[in-house]
Amino acid sequence: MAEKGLGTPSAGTALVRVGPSRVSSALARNRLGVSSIVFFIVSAAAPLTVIGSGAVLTFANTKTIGIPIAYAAIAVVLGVFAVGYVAMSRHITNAGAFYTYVAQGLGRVPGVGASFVAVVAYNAMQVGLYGGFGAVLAGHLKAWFGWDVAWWALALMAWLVIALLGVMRIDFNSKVLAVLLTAECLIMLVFNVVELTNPADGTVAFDALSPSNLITTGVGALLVTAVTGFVGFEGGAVYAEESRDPKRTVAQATYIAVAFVGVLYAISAWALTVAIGPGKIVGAAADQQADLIFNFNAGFLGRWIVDIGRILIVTSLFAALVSFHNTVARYLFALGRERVLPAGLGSTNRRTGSPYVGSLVQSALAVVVILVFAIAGLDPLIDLMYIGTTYGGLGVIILMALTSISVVGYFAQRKDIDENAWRKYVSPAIAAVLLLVVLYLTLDQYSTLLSLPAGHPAVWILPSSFAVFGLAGILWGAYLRSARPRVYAAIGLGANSVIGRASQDLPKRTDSSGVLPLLTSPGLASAPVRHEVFRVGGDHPVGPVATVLSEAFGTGDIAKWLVPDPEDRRRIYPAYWAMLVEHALGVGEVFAGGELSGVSVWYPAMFGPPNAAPRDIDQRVDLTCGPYAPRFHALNHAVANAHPTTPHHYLAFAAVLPDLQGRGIGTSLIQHRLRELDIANVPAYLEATNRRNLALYVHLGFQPMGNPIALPDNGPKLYPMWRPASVHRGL
Amino acid sequence: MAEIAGSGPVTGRAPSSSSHLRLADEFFLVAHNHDADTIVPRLHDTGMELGLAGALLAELVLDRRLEVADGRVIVFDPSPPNDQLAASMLRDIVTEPPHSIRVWLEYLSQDARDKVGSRLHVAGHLAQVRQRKWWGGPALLYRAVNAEQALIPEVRLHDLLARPHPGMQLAKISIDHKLMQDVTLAALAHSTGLLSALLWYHGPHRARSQLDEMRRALPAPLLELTKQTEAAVGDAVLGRRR
Repeated sequence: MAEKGLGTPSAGTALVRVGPSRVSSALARNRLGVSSIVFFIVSAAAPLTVIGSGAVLTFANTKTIGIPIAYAAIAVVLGVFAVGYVAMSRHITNAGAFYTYVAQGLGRVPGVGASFVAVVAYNAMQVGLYGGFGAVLAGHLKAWFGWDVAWWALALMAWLVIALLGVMRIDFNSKVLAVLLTAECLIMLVFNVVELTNPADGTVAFDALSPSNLITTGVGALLVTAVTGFVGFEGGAVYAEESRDPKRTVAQATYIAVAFVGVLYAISAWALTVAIGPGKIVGAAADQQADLIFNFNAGFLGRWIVDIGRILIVTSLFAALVSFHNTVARYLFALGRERVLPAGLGSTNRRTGSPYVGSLVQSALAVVVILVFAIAGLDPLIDLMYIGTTYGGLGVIILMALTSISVVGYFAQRKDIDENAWRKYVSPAIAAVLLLVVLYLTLDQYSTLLSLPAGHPAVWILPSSFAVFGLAGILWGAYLRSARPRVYAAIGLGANSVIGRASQDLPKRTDSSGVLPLLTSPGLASAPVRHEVFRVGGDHPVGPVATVLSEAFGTGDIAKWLVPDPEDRRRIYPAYWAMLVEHALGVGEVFAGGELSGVSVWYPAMFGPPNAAPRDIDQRVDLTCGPYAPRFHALNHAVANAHPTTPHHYLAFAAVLPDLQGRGIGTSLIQHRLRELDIANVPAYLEATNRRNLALYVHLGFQPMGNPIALPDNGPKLYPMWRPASVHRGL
Repeated sequence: MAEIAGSGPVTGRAPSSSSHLRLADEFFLVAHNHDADTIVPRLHDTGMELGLAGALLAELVLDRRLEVADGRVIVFDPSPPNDQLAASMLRDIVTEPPHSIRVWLEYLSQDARDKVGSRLHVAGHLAQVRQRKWWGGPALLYRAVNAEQALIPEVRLHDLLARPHPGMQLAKISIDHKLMQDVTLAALAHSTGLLSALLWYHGPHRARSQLDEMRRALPAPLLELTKQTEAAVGDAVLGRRR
């Protein structure tokens, strides 16, 4: 059941509708525009941290100067990746998490593997940042006040605050974040201007931007560092259901954010090489580490402006810590709700509504790692921050490569989704190839990244740990498939796993006579449909009219109950309906609408029961329906016995060709006759074939009456409905 | 899933006396601590608002006005119910183009707390208290007129869940209207995460397994409604903004 629900594409989301709807406009007021989403994405990337410590550490550790061009290259790769990613995010739920894409595109078992990789990768990034935070703040405290504080003490303080914030669900006020982010970007621009106007040796050197840097050894290390700087850009997809225009807002915001961040990173990193000098940057970076950017600018700018920069890098690191902490907590929450991980992870704090179990688990893991690094006396910047975050970056590259392949797989399985081939296949395929190349280069040159000899065990242990986690996830997924099929079916649905389908995924209506969309239905405007209604004369050929009825009633509960075998149904139905239409054309009143795509059949019942069937119907049903005849008899008798005795007109059948349903043809068809009946002051009666239709008839003034008509052998129910004379409600 | 109850219409007699508390009223009372001078929420804002929205929709289902199937809200009977708030909601639902249940939950959650609070105020269950907050102007708060009476729904819920009901026939839930309302209230408390506050004394474990059985005996529309509420609360956690 869930399998089907997942496969059903939704045309956009159900949240935004056209037309003057009070509900839609009330909800639209809270929707996000492009600029807010860009802002969320960029603030998660923490730009000053990336340049002030990430880029500088890359110079020091890889001993190459190519990181500026690597940022630019990765921005292009991510731009291509984002095309397919955003396109798919519109069609799935829980769209902020990579494993959802894998679960829906490649299968649920690999999806669980991807979820394990993701949890490890994001945890590594978050914990790695603690090292950066502690070391950078310790350096500043020493520079300002001469205090000697151990990095791990500061990291533990930050850890305590973040653990509390996570449980109490205090998010930073978005205005505070906006001010900080703007200040960060401004100060980076100021630094860039200073650096570019004071080049080393008096010449602006473009060495660092030369594409030749991308074919030197060690490029893999540069690329993975560059990816690390962008992580967080995938978060924009979370807002798909909350954005103003789900089709465009998130896509535009993601492209803008990737482009903005890419240009900012590339220029800032390049400006740094210009100022220090391409030949000296590696040595200077190794020497001064995260202080490099401030030490240089302090020579040209007022002390206070550099101090502001120092404060901002600390706040930026802290914001990034909070953001990654929340990402991990939400991942664990979603997996807990899906019961893939223990269900306790999916519980929320009663007072604050935070995913507090997931948050506590992340905090517990982080404190263990911080303590291990502190006790082992490892370097916080190189060993914890640089290695930790690039290790996480490696995981994210793996996830993005898998996601690109999943996008192709997803759209290949669902041909009916309305996206163009560039978004569905071409760009995700290009992105997959590029990301696999990046992944290969990274793995190939992992020793450069760690600046360890190639034979060192860490060089293969770290990357292969992802294979171990992924494999563990795949095994767990396979176990779930065989042992807990319900859990398995809901993998990748996040919080919606409790309903077993995506929130925006409404199952298609499959009404046997689903003829009555509301007049306000948005489909009405979308195609030119002729709503004129004609009375079908008694000499009209039977065939075309009977086709409409047999097509429209060919699916649904009643049809399944009457003739369970679809093959037999296709044989029996035309003959059966031809018999009824032949009778109706002679005795009843047959109307056609939408150029004979909809048909309604009325019988007057003013003086006794309606003459709704030929006199010899039992014999003719026996002839046409063969072994299924008893069911048809039962249906006819049940309907006839339940018929009211008050004078009325009887709407025996109303049907619209399945392809044209939902365009108002049925409504206008029935309304036409109801108006005439209103003028004549005559009540109307019908049997609705299912409860959904019943609601639609209610809009035309019908009311459910009495008990449903139960068909024998546990068959479906019919719902008799009565419309008193001269009821104008709904018309 | 809910074979026991089947998917037939909600049956049983709706309570007609106006003094009777409706489902959202009970959820409101249960979701607050009642002191002598004020009431303090026991549940976070999102859970409270979505829970009340779910309870308001469930009221209409219990009144046999609405139908919830496949994530859609369907009007079963447009005649206005006795309660004014429910009647105005039903009018909204009838006049709007079709929306999914999640849209209705989100829409109703925007002001569900005010609406249900003022309904309880008008009915004389809550009194308004004006409090001056030290950081700003006066705030309008409620307190229970009769704190003991305000605890009645909670006590009933506690009795329903914490006490074992060995002989209880689950099929009764789909017939007995009062019991159906109680089970729906318990299911909504479970969906929003409020349950842990209500079962502080008896271990919540047995209560949860008992509630699981009872929930499955609910009529399909009510069960779907509580599940959708749970998913909406979960999505709010993942959606970062609320």
